[in-house]
Amino acid sequence: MIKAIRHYTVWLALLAALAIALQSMYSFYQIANSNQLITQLNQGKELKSEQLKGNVPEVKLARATYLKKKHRYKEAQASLSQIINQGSQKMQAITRYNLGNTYLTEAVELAESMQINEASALAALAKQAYRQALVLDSHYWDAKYNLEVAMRLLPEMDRITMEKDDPIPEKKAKLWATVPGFPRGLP
Amino acid sequence: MWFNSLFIFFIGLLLSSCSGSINQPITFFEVQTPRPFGYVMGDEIKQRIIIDARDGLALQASSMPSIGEVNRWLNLNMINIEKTKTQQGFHYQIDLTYQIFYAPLAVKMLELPGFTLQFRQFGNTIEKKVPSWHFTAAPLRELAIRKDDGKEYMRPDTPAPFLDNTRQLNRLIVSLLSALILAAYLAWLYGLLTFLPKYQIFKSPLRKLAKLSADDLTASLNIMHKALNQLNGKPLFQHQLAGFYQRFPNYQPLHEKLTWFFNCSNQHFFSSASRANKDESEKIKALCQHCLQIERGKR
Repeated sequence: MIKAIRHYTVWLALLAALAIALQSMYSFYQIANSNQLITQLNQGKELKSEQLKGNVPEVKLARATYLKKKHRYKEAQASLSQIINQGSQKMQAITRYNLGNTYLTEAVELAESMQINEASALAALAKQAYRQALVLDSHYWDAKYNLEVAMRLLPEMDRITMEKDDPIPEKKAKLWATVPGFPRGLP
Repeated sequence: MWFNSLFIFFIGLLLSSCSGSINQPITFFEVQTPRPFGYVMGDEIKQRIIIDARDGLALQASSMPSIGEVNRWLNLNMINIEKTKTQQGFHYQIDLTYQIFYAPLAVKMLELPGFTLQFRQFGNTIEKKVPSWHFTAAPLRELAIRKDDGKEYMRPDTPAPFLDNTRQLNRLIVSLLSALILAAYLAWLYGLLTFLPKYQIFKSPLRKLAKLSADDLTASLNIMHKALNQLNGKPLFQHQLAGFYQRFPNYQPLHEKLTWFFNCSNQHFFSSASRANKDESEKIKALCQHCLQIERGKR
């Protein structure tokens, strides 16, 4: 009886070890595959849409960088917005920084073509993205540098408060005490 | 008389001075700040406030600054309050983590705003002011860099990090090694590791017995005795079988056959009326076969 239990226990342990080995092998293969895709994107090669489906945020981040290099800013921003809260804290900081870079690059291009309003809006978005990246990682030197670039492009001003000035009196609107109607009675 | 009055006056003076120090609501208050220079965009500034307060004096959390934007260029990212009980009352350690987002054109003096901490006891409020703190911030880049200068206008994108597969690789190695060890153990349990010396004791004798003729009982007995002695590590006699079973409990089911074997051997070697029998040789062969099965874990 004890011998049989011992045999079954060892068999079960062996099956569990083999299951873990298979699962680890599958994960290892998937990671190797994702790293291969990242390398491919870094080399400037486009991926098929089915290769991106359900893939890890790192691959989408690499694709966003690829899209930005091709001046496809809107697609890059959409790709980065999808993964903004995914991955580790470091990964989230990188995503926000790269998103800030996408906004800032587009803002600079628009400013050069004298589309100032659009450029200002994008520079404001870039500043927000860099600030978020720095909140996540205060030692992110590239984000510090580029936030300063964005701030030079679109400086921030404190609101000037005029405490001593008298407040402008509000013009009181005349209110009807009663609902106006037709005049009643005649002499 | 005047001496007594003077003595009472001094005692009273002493008591009043003592009672004053005992009634101090906050016995220690210190604001610890880091270096006041060399900060750049995005740097964190940690401020620590140490307070020793008497028992029952509760810090009002509402008097602390709230997390978030303090002003246009300053964020309060974290507040950590540690409260420990001491003999006199409570020891507070308040850690504030600010972060600056100011882009000065040259080195500029900035200010962390002060605030007032409130403590409450028996409906009374005691206030303690944390003073504002000044520090200097510096720019990271030159003012006049332009895009068309050919210099670095902005820092490039951070490349996507490669995924780390060390954990998966380690898990794979450990699980494969475990599977290998377990498979080897199972093979040992099922007696499949026939190359081990443990499984070689009855293998060769059985082969020799198969080659012997049925009439050669002496040789058969000798071969079987030799195999049993090898297993036992020393010569095995019939009266030692109980000890043998204690050391090799797997052979206990063969007790009847082993007893028969020793009786047969005694009769053959020491009795004058011994004669070879074909059945006896076959029985010895069967006994050796059973021993081989036991040594390989098949029985």
